[in-house]
Amino acid sequence: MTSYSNDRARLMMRLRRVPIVLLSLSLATTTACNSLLTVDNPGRVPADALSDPSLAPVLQAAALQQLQCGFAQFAATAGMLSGEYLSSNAFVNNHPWEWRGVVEIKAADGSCPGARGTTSMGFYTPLQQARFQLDDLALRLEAFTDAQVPNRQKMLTEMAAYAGYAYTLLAEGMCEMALDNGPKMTRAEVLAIAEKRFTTAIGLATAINDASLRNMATVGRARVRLDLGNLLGAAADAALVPAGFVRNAEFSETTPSRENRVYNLTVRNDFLSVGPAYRNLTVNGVPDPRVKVTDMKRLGPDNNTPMWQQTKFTGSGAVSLPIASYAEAQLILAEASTGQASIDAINRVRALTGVAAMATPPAGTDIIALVLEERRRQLFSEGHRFVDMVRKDIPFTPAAGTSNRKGQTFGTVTCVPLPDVETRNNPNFKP
Amino acid sequence: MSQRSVSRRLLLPLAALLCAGSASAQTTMATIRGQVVDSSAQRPLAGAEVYIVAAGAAGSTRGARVGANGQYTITGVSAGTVDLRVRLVGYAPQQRRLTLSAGETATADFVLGQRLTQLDQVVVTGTGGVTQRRAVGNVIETINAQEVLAVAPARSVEQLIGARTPGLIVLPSTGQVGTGAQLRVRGVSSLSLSNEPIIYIDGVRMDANVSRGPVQRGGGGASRLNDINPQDIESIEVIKGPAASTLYGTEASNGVIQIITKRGKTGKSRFDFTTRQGTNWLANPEGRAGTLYGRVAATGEIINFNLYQHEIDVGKGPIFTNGRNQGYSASLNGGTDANRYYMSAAYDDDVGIVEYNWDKKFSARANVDVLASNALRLQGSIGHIRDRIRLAQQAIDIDPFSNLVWGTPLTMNAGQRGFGTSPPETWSTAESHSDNDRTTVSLTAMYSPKEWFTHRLVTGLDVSAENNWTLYPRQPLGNLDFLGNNGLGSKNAARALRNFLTLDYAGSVKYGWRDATRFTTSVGLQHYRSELSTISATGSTFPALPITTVTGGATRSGAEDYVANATVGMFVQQEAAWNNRVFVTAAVRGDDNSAFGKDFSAAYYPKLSGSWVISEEPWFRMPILESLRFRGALGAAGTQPGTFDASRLYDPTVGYQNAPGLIPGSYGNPQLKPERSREFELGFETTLLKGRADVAYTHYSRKITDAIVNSPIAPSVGFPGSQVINIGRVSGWGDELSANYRVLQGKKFAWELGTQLANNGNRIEDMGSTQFLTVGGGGQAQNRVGFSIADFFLYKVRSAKIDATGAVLESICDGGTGKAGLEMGGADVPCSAAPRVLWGHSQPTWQAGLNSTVTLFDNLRLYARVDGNGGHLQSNTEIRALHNQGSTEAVIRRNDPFLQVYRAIEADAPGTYKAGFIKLRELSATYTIGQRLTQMLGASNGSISVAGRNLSMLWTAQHGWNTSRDGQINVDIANQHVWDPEIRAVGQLSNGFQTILPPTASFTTTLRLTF
Repeated sequence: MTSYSNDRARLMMRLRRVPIVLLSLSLATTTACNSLLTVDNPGRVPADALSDPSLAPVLQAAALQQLQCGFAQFAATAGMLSGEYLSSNAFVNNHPWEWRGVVEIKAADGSCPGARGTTSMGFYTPLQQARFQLDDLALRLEAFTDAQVPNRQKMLTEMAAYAGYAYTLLAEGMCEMALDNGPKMTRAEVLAIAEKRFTTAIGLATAINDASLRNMATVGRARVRLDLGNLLGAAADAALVPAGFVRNAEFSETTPSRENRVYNLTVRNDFLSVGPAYRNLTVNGVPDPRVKVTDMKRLGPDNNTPMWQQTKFTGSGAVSLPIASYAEAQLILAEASTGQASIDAINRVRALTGVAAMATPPAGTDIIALVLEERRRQLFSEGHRFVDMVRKDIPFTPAAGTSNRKGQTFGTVTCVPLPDVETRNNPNFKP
Repeated sequence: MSQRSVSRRLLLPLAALLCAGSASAQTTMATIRGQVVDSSAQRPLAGAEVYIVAAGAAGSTRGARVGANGQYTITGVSAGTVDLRVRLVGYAPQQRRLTLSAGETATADFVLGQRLTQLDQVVVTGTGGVTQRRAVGNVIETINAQEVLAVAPARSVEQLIGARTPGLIVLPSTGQVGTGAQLRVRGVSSLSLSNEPIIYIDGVRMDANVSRGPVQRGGGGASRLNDINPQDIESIEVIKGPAASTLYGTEASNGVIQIITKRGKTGKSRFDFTTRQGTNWLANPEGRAGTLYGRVAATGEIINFNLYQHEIDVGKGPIFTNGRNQGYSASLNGGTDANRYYMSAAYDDDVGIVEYNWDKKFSARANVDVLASNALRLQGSIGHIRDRIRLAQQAIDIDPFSNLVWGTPLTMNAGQRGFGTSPPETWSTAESHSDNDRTTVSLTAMYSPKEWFTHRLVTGLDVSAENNWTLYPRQPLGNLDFLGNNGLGSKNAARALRNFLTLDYAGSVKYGWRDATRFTTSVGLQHYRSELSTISATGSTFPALPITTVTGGATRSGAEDYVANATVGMFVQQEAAWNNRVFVTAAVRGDDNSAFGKDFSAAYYPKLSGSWVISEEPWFRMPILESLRFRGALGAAGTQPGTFDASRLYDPTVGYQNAPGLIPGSYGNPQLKPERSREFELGFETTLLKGRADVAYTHYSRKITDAIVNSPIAPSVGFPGSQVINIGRVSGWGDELSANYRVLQGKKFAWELGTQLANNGNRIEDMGSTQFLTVGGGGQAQNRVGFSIADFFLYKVRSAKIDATGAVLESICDGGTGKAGLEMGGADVPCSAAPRVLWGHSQPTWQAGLNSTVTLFDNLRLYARVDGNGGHLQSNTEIRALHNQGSTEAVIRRNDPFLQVYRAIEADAPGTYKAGFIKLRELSATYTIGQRLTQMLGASNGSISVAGRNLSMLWTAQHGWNTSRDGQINVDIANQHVWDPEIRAVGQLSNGFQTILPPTASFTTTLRLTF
């Protein structure tokens, strides 16, 4: 072989190495870049990781808490809309819920509070998130096995029972609804979903012999059936709930969103003052222990509203808020029944707090009106009065067009319209 | 990194080394000596470079740096004819031809005039390497810090930057000392992302956040930009948009600001001492506080009072006082051509208009330049700051301003004496602190193995440790105190560690083709990494008065967060120069970033620019023009999304029965990529009228594609918040003009005028299928296709009728016309059927500045500057709240038809007003102390100046020239007023404010001595 051919061979050999060298450099560069671009995210979990069955309990805890937060937001917001509370703070985002401003309420979809001093109201978004989380976990649980997830059956029961309440509250509070970016739905359609969830929960709870969850779902189904006008069904369910039953949303002061929102707004922050229709209520001249309020004998932070505090839910954030109870079941029974059966149910509830029994009213008395008044008092601050006003067409007062002590003009909101954030971003609502 | 003068700092020492040749050779050599002074003040121009220009080359072979006394000496100059050139940043260079004989010592004095168009000035920002301004196709603004500080009482970087550069607007966020302002370069361009420029100090990325520490009213807080001691700054370079900032890549759409600190100057040690003493105050507080109303419930009587005056009348006031400002700064610099140093230390103690708002800052800096070998120069910089700030506006209940604005006469005889929540003696019991210890280190290595082959490596770290805390001590009355539950006591402590790592390499090869054409090829590689780690703890309800720790709280909580971001980028740039007067540069930058979606690989940003110094063409004959350069640039840059915007994530939460939970956090978008801005700018710079006038003009237009929009998610999806998607297109444009005219240049009287004018505009071209997005909480500022970013849309009431009770009988609104039926001027329609129509822009669209300097007898300098901006509206929501709480006459009497309607349909309209303004920003007199007096003090020279800031509002768009001198703005509806149109809340597209302390006025006396 000549020198020339040797050189040529060496050159060819080197040239053949070029792609290898370039590839190596490229790989090294890519590896180096990937390494340089890697950043930790120790505070959050990617969605892909949730396929791990061991994470089911943390999803469960979050979903149940989300429902509790949404429920408390609902109770507080419903309290403002129904006149249980007046806005006694100076924050403008809170006021429209008192004077029922359509534009403002459509702009306020609500959220779980991120701070203890927040004044915002609204329940649509927190309850939608609760609904999604509860249903999402139910789907995941169905894909797992009992061996993979301890207490899987109980979790499934909880998901169904609490989801039933998420759908119920949304259906009762909203004028119309949408699910999963879907088309507009009527309240009846959403209530039907709620009833289905409660029926599922009752079946599962019976199978695992969990009385609390079964009773909770039974009260829920009775409530939904009452909403749908199925009085027989409502009465049948309500009658199954044993005396002494109560299932609470539980709260603590751990984080702002874990606080009882009613307590936070009325006691901790003085942001809401009890409305005139709930002050100094009596039964036969005796103070009514069911509507516990106190005149604080001072103005609220708005320097305008006399401050009256509720004292039903006191004692810091660890106070509970009833989701379902024997008292509510009996009042459903009273409404779904007639005549003396209704009065008997009312008196069973009155007896719980030592209120004098109601005498049998004269013939022709509007029993439903009596029941609604009992509900107004017994279920004070629990979100029911607003629901009753909507479903029974009870006039919202003061009337639209009149103004309040701050010069704010009352609007026309009764049930809550879909928020702008839904109608503007749900493809089914876009023009 | 200060690459600003790489060539001169390399070449001068090399020249010095050459001078160290054989002694015998020097007998055949000549020496040149002389003095270099400023043409107006006749002061020595220390640091100016004097060098001999080699034939046929742009560089120098021998030279010297002017010392503190203005003198220079160049030895070892070959006999014969030489061209001697002198240059200094901010001055027109001069060149003179000398004929030297062997052994001769020639004298050559220079008097340099200041110059706006400095074609030969060395710039480093936005270029592949160190280059002359003449070669750059885009505008680069340079703020000469010493020139500004000589006349303006700037006690912070933001005041130093001011509005001195056309197209750069400073938006102050609060008048509290220790807080910072937002910067906007060429307006806003991003719908959802940051509109802040990125900041470098000596080549190292720095945290310049203006809202660190406890958040104040309006979202402001302590400013990290203002951590830098203005006395340490040599100059600030500003490049304004993608056309210029391409080489900075994905984060540079909003421009780049480079702070260049001082470096040592060759010569004997020079010691500088500066002290400032002054005061700041809020002008006319009693007038601005206005009248507050209330109706006594028992009698129905309407009463009123001026709360500020009332507090004085009852012997408790005034609420606001004059706060003392003082600062002391000392620096030492010197060295040889091979090794130089600059060291400084400063202490600043500023007090605001309440005694518990203060900023005590200690800073120190050491900059060292070392010529390690003939080919290697090292520059090291280290700066440290220890800052202790106490702020006063962290919450409504103890904020002086909120308590004053939202007071009521109904409680003037009660414990709170009419204040919104609590009386003044309560305010100072609550504390809000922002403590910061910060160190910025940079090391620059410049290696030139050959004259034509250079490398520059910059590495640095910006590290800050913040200790932010707020405290409500337990009050003796507990929650029966005015503070309610805060009277039980609470403390929040938040520790933040922030670091920014910079690695930046650039290499250049220079070569030529024949004599006329020179090429420079540059490549660069950058890596930036930022990390922010925060831990906070809160404790509330203390058991006893002395307890003030988090542990002492009955309720405790904690939080931790960590956010990191990393960028890797590289660029290649090719520059071609023809006869040193025509330049063409092409470059491309590629970036990858940790925030990009996993389905997006990298972003590439090209650039093409040209510069033509037409006045140096042989055929150019226009005697009126001394110099003229045309320039143009087309470039792209990006804006990166949030660190984890691309990922679908679940957040930890406290769940049911306090069990740990995971909750949907962000929806994510795996296709997410950076926003991409493409900008074209065209302009010229000229010196005319025999060097008396300098004019620079730039027009730019930009297109933002893949604009990132925070598209809200319908709540029915089940995820909170919004999804970050690339669906938008935005266009922008603007013009910038700066001019300087030396009206008179006599020895006894000199007068110079300068102006900076700019306008900007933008239009949203596309937002995918999204109809509009609200900006901020009120919903009035919206992003809509066909309109500008964050324009204001509100109902416009044309007429209204009310009855005796104030009930609205009829309301007629503007029905809208024009674009999308949303412009004003439509038919009358009932307000219930009317659309919200365009009221105006929320961001300033014009900016104007005018400065005048008069120099008398070479030693007295009188300076005044007015500036302002406008073309926009602001929304002051404190007026809405004032109406809501029933403290205005109109809301009590219910007799203003428009207010009655607006309160029902558009509560913020009564607080929306034209926000344009022009202020007397700076006014000063500076006296150069005579030699006899300075010598008595042991100094070589010195000056004393008296300067005022924000002394008067001259004009507002709301009232024209008849505006109130203190800046109070009266709004038309219900005759309410706001305190100052310049102030605004902190936020990317912020457009209003609520009870934020306005900018204060100040007077400062500054003494400068050089030893």
